[in-house]
Amino acid sequence: MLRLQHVTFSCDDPGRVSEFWAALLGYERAAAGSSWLATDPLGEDVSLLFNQMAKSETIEVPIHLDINVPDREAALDRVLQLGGSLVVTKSFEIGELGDSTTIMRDPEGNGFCLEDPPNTERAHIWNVTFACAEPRELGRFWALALGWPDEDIDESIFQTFRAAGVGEPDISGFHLVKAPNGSRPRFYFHRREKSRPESYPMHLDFATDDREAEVERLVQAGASVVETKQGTNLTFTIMRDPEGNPFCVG
Amino acid sequence: MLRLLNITFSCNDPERLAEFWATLLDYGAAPAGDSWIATDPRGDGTRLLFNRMEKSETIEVPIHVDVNVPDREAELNRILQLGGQLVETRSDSIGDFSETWTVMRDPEGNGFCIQSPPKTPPHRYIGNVTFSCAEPRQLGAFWAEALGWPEEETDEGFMQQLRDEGVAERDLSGFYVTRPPNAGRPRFLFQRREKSRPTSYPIHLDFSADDRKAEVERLERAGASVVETKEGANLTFTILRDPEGNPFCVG
Repeated sequence: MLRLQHVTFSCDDPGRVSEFWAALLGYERAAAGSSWLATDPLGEDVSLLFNQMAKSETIEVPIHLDINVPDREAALDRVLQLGGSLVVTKSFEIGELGDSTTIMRDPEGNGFCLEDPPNTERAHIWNVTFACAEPRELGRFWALALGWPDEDIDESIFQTFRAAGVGEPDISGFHLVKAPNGSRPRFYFHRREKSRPESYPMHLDFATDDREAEVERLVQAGASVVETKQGTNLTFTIMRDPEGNPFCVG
Repeated sequence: MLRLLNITFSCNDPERLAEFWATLLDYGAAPAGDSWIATDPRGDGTRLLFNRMEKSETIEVPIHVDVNVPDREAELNRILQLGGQLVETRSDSIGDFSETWTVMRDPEGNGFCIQSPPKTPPHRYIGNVTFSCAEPRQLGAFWAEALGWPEEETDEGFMQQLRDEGVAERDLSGFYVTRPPNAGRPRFLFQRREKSRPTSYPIHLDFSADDRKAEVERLERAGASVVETKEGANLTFTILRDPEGNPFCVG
């Protein structure tokens, strides 16, 4: 099985971007060669790695982070103070259901979302969100890759949507995969036309006990191998998921 | 100059779709050979043409229409009764500025928006033809030139308001509007969105011009490219693509 090790940002200035994210999430950061690593001092949430690497411009980034905060308005101001920018606060309503999200950018333009559900005590990464063509299918791949349960979304939500007049293509427009122990982050999939950047601004790095066996298992599940890189301390394989998102297995 | 002649839908069932849109907009619908045409009896709304034609599946349709209605909530229910579907009602806000619209689908899945901006006249009409694009200002400038519409000045006061709320320059250039000089409708709205790249567009625009050949040459100089010219019995028309690849016809 894969274990999520880092969310990795390709940056022009890893020091600057890591400072932003560490301050936003209350992480500690440390330099590692030309990279920076930001980790949760409480050990609960996923680490972030900032590499000096080329990235392509995107309109709709294929992978982004959803951050939960105690107070969305206060967090918005904090992000601006830290050097981020505002895109828009977006609310949706489908029948009885509704929600608000503030979309922001970090200092290098990476989009992310802020939400403030009840009982959020501190800022944390809640979802890794994939813009994709087939949320259900891509979600199933990732559930399998992570050894997480492959569960359907609660049917009562679909009933609410149908009652409000939502049609079938939109009802299958999202999917959620989460760890059995409820640990964060969850993987969220929604149907969105995404950019196809040559170099992803953000990707996921995974650890595993037996890399070669794992790569084989993932290929059977629909992933493809780009290449295996041999470092001095670490060998890792770059792969793509069934919708082409690159990720690393080390 | 180009004059907008039709908004053309590629459909599986032209009659059914023409009926839906005609009822929605208080238009009249009539068959024309294999196709159906829906027209505004008041004479000022854009004509809609429904052709039986192949269309590709899309996630984010490159061109859609925004319909202005007197009462969005009431209209939502009426559209569901007509066989449409709801996607969601959306509100976007930046500081004190806020906009609400409802995203819906017609019976063949084409997404469109309904909205009730302030001072909406008491009838329903197509307020915008909206393009999802990479560079709204550049694409907007092309279409303003193609249509002979004035290039819009940026509303600097509004831009400053957005800047003060923390919006960065890249997002300030994320939308653009061009409109006919007589304040007619529809306006052409351009927004930065990643769009699908369908082989066959579900919706495209047809234009007329006084001198097709000269017009095609002018558009090529402005950044369009020619796909082909088709000679029909009554009509010769040229299929072009705008600078971001959206097909359109000039007859």
